[in-house]
Formats: sequence, C-alpha cells, structure tokens
Amino acid sequence: MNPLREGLVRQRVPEPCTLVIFGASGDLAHRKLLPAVYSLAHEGLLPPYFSIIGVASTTHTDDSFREDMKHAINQFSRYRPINEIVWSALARGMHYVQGNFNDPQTYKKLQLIFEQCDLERRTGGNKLFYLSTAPSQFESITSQLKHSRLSEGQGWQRVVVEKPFGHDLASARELNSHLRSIFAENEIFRIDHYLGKETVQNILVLRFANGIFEPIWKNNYIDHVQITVAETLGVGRRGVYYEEAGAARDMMQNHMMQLLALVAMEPPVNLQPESIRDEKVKALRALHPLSEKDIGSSSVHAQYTAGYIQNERVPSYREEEKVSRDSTTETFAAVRLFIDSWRWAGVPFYLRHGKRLAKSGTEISVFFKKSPGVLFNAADSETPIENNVLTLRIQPNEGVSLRMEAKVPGQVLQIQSVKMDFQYGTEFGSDSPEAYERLLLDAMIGDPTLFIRHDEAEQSWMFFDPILQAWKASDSQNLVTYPAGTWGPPESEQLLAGDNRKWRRL
Amino acid sequence: MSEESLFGIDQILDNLKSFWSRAGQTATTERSISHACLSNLIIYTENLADEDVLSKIVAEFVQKHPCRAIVILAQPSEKSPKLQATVSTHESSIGAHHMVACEQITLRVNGPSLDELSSAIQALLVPDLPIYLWWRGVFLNQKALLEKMLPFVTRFIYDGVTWTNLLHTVPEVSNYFQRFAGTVAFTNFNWSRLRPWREYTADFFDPGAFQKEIWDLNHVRVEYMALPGFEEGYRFRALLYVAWLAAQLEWKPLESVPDSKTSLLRFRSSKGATVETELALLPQSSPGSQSIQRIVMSIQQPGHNQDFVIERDHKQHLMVLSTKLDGTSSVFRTVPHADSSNADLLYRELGRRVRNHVFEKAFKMAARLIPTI
Repeated sequence: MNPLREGLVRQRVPEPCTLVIFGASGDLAHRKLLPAVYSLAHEGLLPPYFSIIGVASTTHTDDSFREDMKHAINQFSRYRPINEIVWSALARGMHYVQGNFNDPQTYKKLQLIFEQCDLERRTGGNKLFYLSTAPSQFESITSQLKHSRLSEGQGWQRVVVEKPFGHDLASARELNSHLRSIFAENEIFRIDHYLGKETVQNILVLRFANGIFEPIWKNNYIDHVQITVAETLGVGRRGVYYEEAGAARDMMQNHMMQLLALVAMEPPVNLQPESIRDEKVKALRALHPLSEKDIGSSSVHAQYTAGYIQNERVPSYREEEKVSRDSTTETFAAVRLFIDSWRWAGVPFYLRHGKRLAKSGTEISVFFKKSPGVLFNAADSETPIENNVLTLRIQPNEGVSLRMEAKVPGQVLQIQSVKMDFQYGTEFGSDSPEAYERLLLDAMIGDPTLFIRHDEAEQSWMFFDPILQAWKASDSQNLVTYPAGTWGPPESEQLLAGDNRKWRRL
Repeated sequence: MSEESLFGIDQILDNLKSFWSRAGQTATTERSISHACLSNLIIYTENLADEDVLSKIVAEFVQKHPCRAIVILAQPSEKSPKLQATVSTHESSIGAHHMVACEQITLRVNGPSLDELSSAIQALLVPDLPIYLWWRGVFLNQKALLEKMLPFVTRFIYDGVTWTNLLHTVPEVSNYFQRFAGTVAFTNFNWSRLRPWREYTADFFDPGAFQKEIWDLNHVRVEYMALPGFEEGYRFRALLYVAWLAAQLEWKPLESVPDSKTSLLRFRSSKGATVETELALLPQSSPGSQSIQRIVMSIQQPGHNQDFVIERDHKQHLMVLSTKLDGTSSVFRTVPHADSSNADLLYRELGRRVRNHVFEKAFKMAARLIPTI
C-alpha cells in the first residue's frame, strides 16, 4: 500500500503490465479497446510502465499498427483530437505480432516481444490477455498460451474473455472447464460491457444507498418487473454471427440476465467482489425453470420482416447480408419468468429484446401494486388509478423516473399520472467514462466485481437452454414474424395481456 | 446567461418561479429545458471587480455541477443601507435538443445591511441540498458575518494563498476547524492546487515502481515562485506539501533553519533517519509565474544517490516525472498538465461529501511547523 495514495482520486492504480490484445485488427479493438486505453492514458490512469502488444493475422509492422490505432483513436475516442504527447508515450510501448492464432510460431514471436517489452518497460512480467476474437478461437489461444508458458511466470497473468461464453450450457461448461485448467478463476475476467455502464452500476446504489426503496423491494409491494432492450438497428454486417446466436443468445442470456440479477439479488454483506457475485448467482439459481409446456405459454420468439424505421424502408431479416434466405433465427424474444425466493415469490419478470423495433432503449421498470380498492381505487370509481412505476433507464437518456398519481387542479376530483424524473446528463453532465475504460482498468487492477463468474454464466444457460431447444424444435413448423418498426409480434402483447398487464411504452 | 433585472430581496423567489414557468411554456419538442440543482453555492466577495469573473466561473461550474448560485457583492465600508438582488440564469446544452438551466442570484449589500444578509440568504436556499460557502478574500476580516453563516453551511471554501500573516492566521483557522469540526467541512484552494503534485508524487511509489524507496527518502526540495505580495501564501502552499509528506510518512518535526529565501525543516523518519526539507523561493521567471515549479525527493546515502523529480515544462504544458540514479537520469512519466480553473477546483471539492482528513492532518502538521519557519 502506498501511503501517499490516501485521499487521492486515483486510489486504485494498476501495477505495471503488458496488455496483449488478440484480434487487435478487429472492430472491437478499433472502436472500443484502443480508444478506452487511450482515454485511460489521457486521464493518467495507466501505470507509468505499460505496453500493448497487438496480435492478429492482418499484415502490419509495429509502425503501421500504431498508425492504424492512432487513426482509430482519433475516430472513436472521447478525447479528440489526439494529444500527441499522450499518444507518443503510449505508442512507444506498442508492438504488433502478426500470425495465426493456432500457430505455435505466433506465440514464440509473442514471447520474444513480450520479453523485450518487459525489459524495456519494466512491466514486471504482468500480462493481461484480451481475447477480442471469435469465440471459436478462445480455446485454441488459451491452449497455445499454456504450451508457450505465457500463461505463467513472474508477475500476474489474467485473461479477459468477450461474450458469448458458450452457445449453450454444455459448451459454456466446457469453455469454463478449459479456461480454469489454465487460469485460476480469479485470473479469468468474463466481460459483459453492460456491467461497465454507469447506470447499471447505479442499480446497486439506488437499491442499497436509499433507505426508501429496499423495504418495498419485494413481492408485498411489487406487482411485476419489465426489462426491455429495444433496438431499431438490424443485424448489419454481423449476419454470420447473428445466424448462430439469435436474440436470446446475443442479448438476453447475458446482458439482460445480469440486469435481472442486479434487480433481484439480496443485499450483499459487503461490497467485496465475491460478496456481490455470490448474491447475483443466488438470484439466478432461484430462477424457476420453465417446463416444456410452460415454454409455449411463457415465451415468444419471432423474426422481423420488411418494414419502416423512422420513415425509411428496411429489409426483412432474411434479406440481410450473410443471412440465410430460409433462416429461422429469432430477432425478437420475450420471456416471462419467476424467481423462487421469499422476496420474489409470485412476481413475474418480463424480459423483452428485439431488433428493428419502433424505438431504441434499454430500461428496467418496476411496477408497484396499486393501492387498495377503496377510496380512489374503488370498483365504481370514475378515476381508476395506475400503478406507480419506477423506471431505471440504462440508455439512452440515462436516469431514473417515478410515475405517481396526482390530483388535477379543479373542482372535480380527477387523477392523472405524473412523472418525477432524474436524468444523469442533466445532473452530472454527459461526460461519463465508456464502459470499456472502467472494465479494462478493473481487469488491470484485478478487481472482478463487474465481471461474470463461471457459475453466473452457467446458471444463466441452465435457464435458457431448454427454451432455446424448444424454440429450435418449433421453428420448422411455425415461425412467428413481425414487421420492422413495430414493437414485435402480437404474441408479445398477449404474453402480458393474459396476466392483465401490458408492456410499458418506451 | 440571460434575464437580469433588479429586485428587492423579497421578490426574488417569485421572480424565479415566473421565470421557470415561462421557460416551461417556451419549450418545444425540438428544444426542451430542464431546471437542475445539486446544491446551493454561496460566493462572497468584497471586490466588485469580481462580478464578471464570478459569473464566468459559475457559468463554467454549473455545466458539471448544476446548482443555485448566490453571489454576494459586499461593500462593508459603504454607509447607506442596501440589500438588492438580480436574478439571472446559466444555460448549457445536453445533446442537440436539451438545455439545462441554473439560477444565479446576485446580492448587492452595503455595510449596514450585512446584519440582514445571513437571514436573507437562508430564505433563498434550495431545501435539502448541501450548502457551500466560497469566501473570496480574507474571511477573518468579517468574523461576525462568518459566525452567522458557518452554522448552516455544509462546506466552507477559502483560498489560503491570500493569507499574509501566517503566524496569526493559521492558529485562527485551526480554531474554526475545531469549533465546527462536527458540522462543517473545510476546503482550502491552496491545498486543492497541490492535488496534481500529490498525485505525481504518489505515482513514484506505487507497487511495481519504487514502493520500498519511499521509506528511505531523506531529502526533499520544493521550489516555488510567488506573485508579488502573496509570498506568504505561496510559501504556505509549499509548506502544506511538505507537511502532507511528513504526516503520511510519519515523520516527526525536529527543527528548522529559516532565512529569507529558503526554509530548512528537519524531521525524524519512521526509520529513525534525519529528513531534510527545503522550501526554496525562486525569482519569478515571468510576471505571471507562480506556485510550485519543481520538487526533488532524494535518497542520499553513502554510495547511493537517487532522485525523484517532478518538474513543470511551461512551454509544452507538461509535467515531467523523472528519476536519477547515481547520476543517470531517465524519464518516468510525462503528463499533459494545465493549471486547474477555479470552477475545476470547486467541482472536485464539491464531489467530496465528507471532511478531508488527509488535508486536516497536513494542515495540523503545517500549523505545528509555522512558528519554526
């Protein structure tokens, strides 16, 4: 512990290290990783002794790699234009290894460059491997790291794994088992960038730093919870990936289940990483499994057809680039689920995600029970009242709002819903760090709080596996569709209508 | 900034209400306006020339920290009673279609009306939100007013660079610290401006760098410049830096050897070694030059000399951190550096909800050292 750090803004400082990015010429590295590294450097958050080694099959020299990254940073960084002094300090420690991920020679070259960096940049043998590649490469890369002994040695070694963590329960277990045969669990950082978002981290603060919410955060007061991730975008150039994944694997099984876990978890005993992750996994473990019969009545999946988004005609999913013309991949998914716990017994959670919907937005809405059926809510009342709704907007317009009932001024008793609204951008300005900045820094520091533990990933798959299998079996007979620019198929509305509820309009 | 007109103090809140009502009516789907407020910021000054400067500071500050600003332009020597207000707003854009607006109430007050000021301000505060009082100038000149305001203030902000008689001022301020310790947090901008120097000092001694060497430091030299007339304030800043090192590293003060240009202070380190520190006033390199310019921390032992140097490069707006081992120098880190504006300093300080114990420890140590330099 450095006694001079007490009271400083930068109380958490990473040790000197080398960041090794596999897939360094890819989209994620360009758009997110290098801009995030640069922002950290710009804010003085990187250790003074730091280097980056990019590994990919694209032809590059060290210099051309640096130029490529500089261009990406200039295009995507929060701090533009690039500061030449910050950049040149970063670029001096930047190297590139060209090679195939399956080829042992690649790792020999990597070892040499790493030793050179370690010597020149005094990184103490510390390595952070970032697997920014197709999931099919994860096992091969980590095996090669083991064979080349890069996964061991002086200092610490950590690996960051991008989603998806497997494509079903069996493959997730296999991947976890493989990774854990090479790295210890506390060296594996399964990244879900949603957890790096300020508004997602605010869920814990909202729940546990405000005395008013936690006492009513239970089935006595909460009617139901809706979690929506709506996108107007189609699959774009990710057709190949999306054909394999679909809406549930791409968004629901990982990001949305993390949101669910944060909303449903019990208070952790402290803010230590394992205490928080223990509670999240307990919430996921309590998910009531859907039987084959339940799946039909508790879930909806569908695919978009051609339609209009903001007055612009967009093609159907089957017409998208690199998508099969008879594809049955779902682009919309909605699920009703229950959590078998004392707190949540009987409270449905409705999850909805879709592409090419009418509007983009990610939010969690907690619907409270209506007041008792007397006074304003009597059966014969002419002023029926609505539920109070607490909405946590994850993106865009990050913030929190509370819908409540109020009397309309005048002689007659009229009641109307009004909204109290807190907006992050209004209160705190809009210059929050990108999710990847926070997560990269945490991985360098070794703080796994905002990363997914192996059992979280597996529990989530355990719930979704039967649903995905049942959907696959049914698709050959009857694929449900919805026009682009709508809120999904009618079946989605019926899922809630059957419970006398409806989706919140974003 | 917009909408400024003169009111009696009792009309202010009505005027604000009608302003927000009009703002709501003029909002459209293309352009909405929100009223945001995280705190009450009271700024007191007796320098009327500050008015424009303060409006600019408030305008910059509210972009990051929306608040109700109450600016007091006081003229204690004016004999005719006067307490008048103007109301204005600061607007900033959030995205293409959204504006955030904050109010600024400017109070002009003459000597006889200073007695009413405290109660007038309390009527203007936004309930439930913290109350920050930033006193521009020497607050010990207005003790009666200060005594009335401190009881309802959350944080009191001042700038010790304006202090002239340290031997008298520091014990008086310590007295306020003690009396209001339970309710008021204190911020001294003279300390706040040390933040980058403390950050860069800490950088040397993190794990993986020179973690062990920190306990062997036995010489520190702080070189600073001062604007004419503010020599004591800048010397106090340099002293606060040394006092911070001493408090954090558990050095015990031994003695001092003052002279006009350099103050030598000796400490006993936690390892029992003697630590020598120097506060060296340099001549100004240009008319605006001020503050700390260079810090050298050293380990001077037989056969082993190691320096840790932090130095400003004014031309390139850099802070250069370097090490020197037995005569061989190497750059440790180069960081872009610009002096913080007052709005930046305010923003950083107001993000802290609790008392700053590190500052208080350093101030206590500095207060102990003052009589010896």
